[in-house]
Amino acid sequence: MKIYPDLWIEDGDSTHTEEWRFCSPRRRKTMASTESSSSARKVVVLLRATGDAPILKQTKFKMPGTDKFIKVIDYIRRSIQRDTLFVFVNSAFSPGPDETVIDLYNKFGIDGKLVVNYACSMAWG
Amino acid sequence: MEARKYIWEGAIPLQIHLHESEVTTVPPPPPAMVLAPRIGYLPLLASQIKPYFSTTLPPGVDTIWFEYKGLPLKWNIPTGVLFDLLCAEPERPWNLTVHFRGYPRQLLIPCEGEDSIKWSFINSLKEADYIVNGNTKNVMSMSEPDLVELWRSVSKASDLEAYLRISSKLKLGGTGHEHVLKSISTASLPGQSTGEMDIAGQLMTGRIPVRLYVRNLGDDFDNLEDAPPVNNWDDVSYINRPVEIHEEGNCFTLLDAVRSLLPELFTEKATIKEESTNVIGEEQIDCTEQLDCTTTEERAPNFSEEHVQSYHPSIKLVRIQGIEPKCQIPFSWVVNNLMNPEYFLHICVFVSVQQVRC
Repeated sequence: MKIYPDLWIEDGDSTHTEEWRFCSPRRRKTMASTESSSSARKVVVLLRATGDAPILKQTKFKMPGTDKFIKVIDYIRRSIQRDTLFVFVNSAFSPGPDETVIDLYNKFGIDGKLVVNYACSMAWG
Repeated sequence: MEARKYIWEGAIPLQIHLHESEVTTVPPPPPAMVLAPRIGYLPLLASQIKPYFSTTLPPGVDTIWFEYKGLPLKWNIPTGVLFDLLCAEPERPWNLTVHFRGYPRQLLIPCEGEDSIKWSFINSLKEADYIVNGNTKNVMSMSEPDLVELWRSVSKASDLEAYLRISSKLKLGGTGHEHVLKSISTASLPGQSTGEMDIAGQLMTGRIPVRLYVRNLGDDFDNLEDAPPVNNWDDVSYINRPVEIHEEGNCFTLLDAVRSLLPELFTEKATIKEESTNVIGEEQIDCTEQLDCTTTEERAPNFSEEHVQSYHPSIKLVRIQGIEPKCQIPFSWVVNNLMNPEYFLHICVFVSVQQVRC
């Protein structure tokens, strides 16, 4: 299986370490020049279609852990081009769009992956 | 139980102004005064607020949304948490601006009335179930009438008894359901003092669902009143990590919980201490534990000579349900009494960052 590390547009904000989260804006500016993107942890996300949802060409990829879940939702929405979309973790629940991918992975990751199911009609109420 | 009741009935007085771009009448309508339940969500107030402004609104239809000092408020965060986080120095009444037009779709997730809020609430409940039990069976197997009743009690912030009756079936622990927590008697753990028990006389173990909001107050900050307003949600670190409580025999405090959630802040401190005073092992941990949340910052500059880091964050304030509990309070008490109805404990942490010179 091939992993596509460059799928995500990695803006400056998405690859920061923990230090970045708590330091002042002034410090952030100085850090921006020195920090390398490899310092942020990446998460492997596995997308699974459910029901009649179309299967995406690319179902597995890496993304920076500091990215929010909304980025996954937006990616699926853009890819399948449907208005109605339901996105679940582990076929169980729909996380808040603001949760970071690394927090979700640490809590719900299975075998080194965060499994994200998507459906175009309501599944798992 | 009593604390739980206070929280259930807790409300924030709001003074709501209609945004000037939506005022079409002269004189403009007076602000609406509303009591907003802490455990509730802002758009649920629409039915109370809209009648005040309906005659002055421009044509068209859109979703209700709120802002505070220019910051669009996330509707999926409970109102009490928004207040605790965004009003560093609590303001009463809390002056909010309401909009009925121009929903900022780039900044806020879509809200299609009460159903969206219910969906968000139920999914938080499922997430909590997953964290505690490893699956969402308890929430999924809830009967439809129970679900309706549960949401009614939460959305109206009324009928705590109904809420407790239904939520106890979910076996998620928490207030009034100590029987489902793994509990151990004092006899089984010799050497424990009564101070290590929670109010029910039991120890709690397992994973506690927590949503943590970290707000950076900047580096030249003295007074909460001077705290700069949050201009952008990116300025708030939103951390979702469960707190693991183990049967370690020691009283697991709120400070322990915050430390486990924000190891970055405490590691930094420990590093400074280790480098400067050469305290090792157990002693070092003891020292860190004795540190009061507010004194650490004052002490930090003393070590700056030997320290090469150029920043130093420290915790100024921990606020939960409008309360600023002492750091040594047992975490189980905090969970049992201060959690929100979706079984998440929402903790607001205010961090101050000092530039430490090399």
